[in-house]
Amino acid sequence: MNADNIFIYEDHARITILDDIMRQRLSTALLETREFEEVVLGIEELCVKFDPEYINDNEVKYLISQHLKSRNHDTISSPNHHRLDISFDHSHALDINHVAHIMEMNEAEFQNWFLQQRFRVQMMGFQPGFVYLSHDIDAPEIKRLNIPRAKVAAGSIGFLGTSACIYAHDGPGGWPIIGKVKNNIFDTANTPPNLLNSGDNIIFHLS
Amino acid sequence: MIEIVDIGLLASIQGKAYRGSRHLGMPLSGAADPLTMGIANTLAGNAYDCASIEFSILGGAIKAHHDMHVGITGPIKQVSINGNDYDHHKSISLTAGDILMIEALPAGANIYMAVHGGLEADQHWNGNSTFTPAKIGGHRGRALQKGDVLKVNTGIKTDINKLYLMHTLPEKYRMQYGHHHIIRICPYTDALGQQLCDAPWNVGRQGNRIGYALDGDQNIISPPHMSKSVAVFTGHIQCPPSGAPFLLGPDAQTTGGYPLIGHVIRADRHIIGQIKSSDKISFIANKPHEARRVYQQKLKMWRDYIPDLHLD
Repeated sequence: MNADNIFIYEDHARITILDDIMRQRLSTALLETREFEEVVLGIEELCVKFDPEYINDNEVKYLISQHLKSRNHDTISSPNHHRLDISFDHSHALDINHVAHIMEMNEAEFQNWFLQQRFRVQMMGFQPGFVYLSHDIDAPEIKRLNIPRAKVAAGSIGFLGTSACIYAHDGPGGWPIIGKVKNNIFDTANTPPNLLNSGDNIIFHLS
Repeated sequence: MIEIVDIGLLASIQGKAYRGSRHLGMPLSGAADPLTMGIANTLAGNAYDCASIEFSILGGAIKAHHDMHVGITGPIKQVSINGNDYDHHKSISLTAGDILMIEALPAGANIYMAVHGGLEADQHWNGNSTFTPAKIGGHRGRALQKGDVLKVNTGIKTDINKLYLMHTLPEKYRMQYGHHHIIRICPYTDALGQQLCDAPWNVGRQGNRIGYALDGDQNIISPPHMSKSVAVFTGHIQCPPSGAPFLLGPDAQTTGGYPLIGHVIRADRHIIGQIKSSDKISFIANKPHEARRVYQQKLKMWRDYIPDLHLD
């Protein structure tokens, strides 16, 4: 990984990094520099936005390259561990039968399988508090809904086989829904309002 | 305090954007047209991003509960105080009980009304703008309603005579509004640039602060394949499988999986805030180095009037 892998588009730069942990560590390190307006994790990619008034392309490439070479970002503090309460009640788990079928399981088997997985917050995005989750077990790819729902309830858990998500707010969404967490994952009364952060580990507990 | 008498089609408090919070999933939000909000705040003697009212499409009306000075800009047809027309290119002085009405032009989308001192607004992270999908910022995280009473920060002392003398909007800073927008973009390939810039695009009917679907005589041919979710920003142009581009607005999500085919240059993103459904957009392709030069030139020109202006 070097400066040749950094692609600059006027006021933002994209870096492809396949390794989840390395990408997360670089993201944390670049956020701490406060040199960039935004540092945003994507799937297999990290993107920084900068103000061309204050920093030029070469400086952007240099800063990112230095942090890629540096091992300082290996010392990031341990991620938080969360146990979230889940309900598979059919009033929430709108697509669980469809998902279980693709996973070649019955509904009870899928619930058990899901509760045994250890998920990691791969990134945050889409909307405040929304989290993308990954796990290490091979699973078939499940497609998004052909027609997104106009309203998915806050707390709903989406599942695409190799990845999952938790909706933080009521709103539109296209992921198949297999359950709902009872924890409030975004509450403006809290500082910070988001319960979960990139890199955190999650297990689900039936409640 | 200010009382909302008429919200027009939609009104909300917008001020500081949520810059630096995208890694938490928080969009930029803030004024749809931060340049126009900056003019209103300058007329009112404020920092460019003091919390102000964004009246969308139709204008609106407020009642002053105490003496105050306001600045109003945007696509305005007429401003009146207690029924008497007033020149809105100056700071406006209101006395307690005055009713100020703003009538919008047919063209353009967002009018800003700033109050000297700024409005009080709910603060989260670095911002205080209304972001309704997460119910945060502004006035209780929601759009304004008739009867809402908004507090004004009154702690700022200003020489009122200076305010009057300094804050008449010079001719060269008075914006023109129309139904056809010329917007410079950086397309991600020359072929995409040719398709995007070949002919005007019609703005779809379902647009809002999240973005606008565009419709042309010929949509993008062979749109790129779906990608994994990556960072997107205000001004990015996505291309869904239909080939009809989607232009992202200030409340757009922070990540997306549709292929990206270009972006509105930083200097022109404020124009997105004056687009409305059924308008037309013509794109002009810029190279990144041209985009940066335009950005520096625009900042230089506008900072003679709005010294602290920042464009995202």
